[in-house]
Amino acid sequence: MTIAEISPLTDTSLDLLELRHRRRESALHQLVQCAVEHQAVRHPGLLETLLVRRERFGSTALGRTHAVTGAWSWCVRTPLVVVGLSGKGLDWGDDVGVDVELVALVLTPGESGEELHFRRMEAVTGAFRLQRQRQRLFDHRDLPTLSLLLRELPR
Amino acid sequence: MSAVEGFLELHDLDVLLAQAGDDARRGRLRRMGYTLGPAPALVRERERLAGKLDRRWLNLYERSLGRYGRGLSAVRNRVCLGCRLTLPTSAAPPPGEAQLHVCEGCGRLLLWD
Repeated sequence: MTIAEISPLTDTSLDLLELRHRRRESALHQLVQCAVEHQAVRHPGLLETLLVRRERFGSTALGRTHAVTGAWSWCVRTPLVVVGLSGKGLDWGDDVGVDVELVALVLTPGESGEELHFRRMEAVTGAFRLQRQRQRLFDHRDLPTLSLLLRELPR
Repeated sequence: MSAVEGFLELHDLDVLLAQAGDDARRGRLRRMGYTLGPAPALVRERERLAGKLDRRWLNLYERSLGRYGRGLSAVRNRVCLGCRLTLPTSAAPPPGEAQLHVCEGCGRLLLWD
């Protein structure tokens, strides 16, 4: 009998990146561009418009240091969660003192149900609610840690 | 902006409006920790956007929106993802062109992949 070592499969529905900019719109643009590279988006311009509009409807910053935004849209081809980390902090809207260090973008395709999108959003907001979870990601800054934190995420 | 993109943007705005106007959805978002703003600004934005779109297509879109809750559907491998009807080959737009079509099965506007 031959025993072969099987390396773990890469989860292509998650990605982690370093945010380069300080402005919210620039950070959203970078996250959408990452989703474009994953071929998860049909109309990136429209998706960005939707995300900016969502911010006007109510900020997606949860607490002082992290934000979770998302879209359930026909602009999205495949489900994807992109998490961006910012060492310098992002200016997230007009609330004084809000300096966001972690941004998650949850994308759910339009053909999936809205219920699935809500469950995905709940899984991501739940995973990053605790400071120690976010700190764990900041300490490791790798996909396996992100996968572990988002293990409850419905695919 | 093409007509297809216009309806896509309108559809996304309608999804936001549905979240803003529905107590169950708003409650769920609040439980996640979101603070939500007032919906009237979104309604005004929708009126502005709808004003730019072709009236005939808009009527068809709004009819499907009222009936199914969504006025737009994507097509993948010639199948309408709204009602799962296989569409005839002749219904597909020429490659590289984005055109508006209506699904023969459900009446939603179609977004060809």
